Amino acid sequence: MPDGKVALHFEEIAKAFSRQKVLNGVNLSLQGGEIVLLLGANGSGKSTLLRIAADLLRPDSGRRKVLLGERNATAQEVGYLGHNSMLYADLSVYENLAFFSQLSGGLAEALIDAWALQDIRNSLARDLSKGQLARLSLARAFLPAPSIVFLDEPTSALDERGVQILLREIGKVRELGGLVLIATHDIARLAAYAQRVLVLQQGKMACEEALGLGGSSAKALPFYHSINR
Amino acid sequence: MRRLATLLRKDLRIELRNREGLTLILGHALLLSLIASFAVGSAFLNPLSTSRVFPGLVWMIFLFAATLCIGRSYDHELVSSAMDGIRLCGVPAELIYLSKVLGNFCLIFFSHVITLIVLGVLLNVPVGMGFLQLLLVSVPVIFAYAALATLLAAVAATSRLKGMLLPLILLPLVFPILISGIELFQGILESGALPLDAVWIPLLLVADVVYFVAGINLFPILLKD
Repeated sequence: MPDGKVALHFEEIAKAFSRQKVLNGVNLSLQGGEIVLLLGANGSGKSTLLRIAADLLRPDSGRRKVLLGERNATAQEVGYLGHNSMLYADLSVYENLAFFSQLSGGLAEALIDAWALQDIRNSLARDLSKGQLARLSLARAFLPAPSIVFLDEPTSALDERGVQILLREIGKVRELGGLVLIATHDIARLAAYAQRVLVLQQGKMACEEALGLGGSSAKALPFYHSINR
Repeated sequence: MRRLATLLRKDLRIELRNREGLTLILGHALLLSLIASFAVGSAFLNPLSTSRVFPGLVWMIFLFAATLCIGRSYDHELVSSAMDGIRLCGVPAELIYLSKVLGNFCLIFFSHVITLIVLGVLLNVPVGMGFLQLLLVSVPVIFAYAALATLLAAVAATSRLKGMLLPLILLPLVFPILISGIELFQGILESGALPLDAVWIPLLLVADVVYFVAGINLFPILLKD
């Protein structure tokens, strides 16, 4: 459980690759206890924003704060899933989780049970299907027990069972007062579980809205659909 | 220390499973030793001259084989961004660098020992009693090389030229330590003892400190950009 109120603050975050501006002065303030969907067209800067949030990428300018109470969150308190698996192809499912557990202080066995990986625990990561690899990557992202989780298109390769496990795990983080920020295009499966939606457009935060019951939205989702047509 | 051991154990497990690094470095070292022995044999050098070219050949073979091997030392970390996974576990970048330097050092040193033995036999160089002193001198040379090459391999791995860039940026900077290694090997083979008063020993120790301190300070910056 977080030992203080979880909060994420971005102040005028900007990032460019070569001459291409990807984020152009993003301001954002989120509190714990929410599952937040980050929407936007391809190339709008969602993945870059998540990498900066997870402290894997340095912004060109602006300030990023991920707080647990009064202090900055440590790396172990932040979970992140990117486009790549972040796993070792030549290690088995168990060896991968054991390796990252030993570094972060989590329990590999508990994750194997939680993510239903028992049947493939001795398979090498290189031999897994895309869906199995996605489930293993998500298990790693939840090591050891993060209070803030950033997920980049987590449902893109998951089967229905995988999605159910994901929803259960992000639900647990939220119930404990944590924050889950998900970049996704899979609104149909995730909107009903989210409390807030953000829409990025050309590197700027174009729209933000608290969702109603069952994921109903008067402003943000119609706006996202209009720019993504 | 526990985290360092975990990182080293992971690299060792992957290496033992696919033996890519060992095959690459030993394969190149042995083939180059064979070519060198033919080249020297065809020149009909006398035993004294052969002993004199031996140090240069050993360190040239080391340079080619080690540079090829070290160029791929981040392949497993970068192919699926596993390095990011390690950083998200709160492992300091300095510790990742240290584990890579130690892993590369062990692999290159092992290959270097085999090269010394094989090339010594092929060229009929009486290494004999000086063998341990040759190994002793090799430790600071290879450590300085590993410290520098591990840093520059990280630069090369994220560039568009990948492994092709590494020799271009590495070779000019390793000249001082290679010349030290060659000169100290000459001294040992000629006198049978380590030339303790030679200027090359302090130069090597300074290179060890400078390259390692530079690596441990610059690697975290590279990782974040």
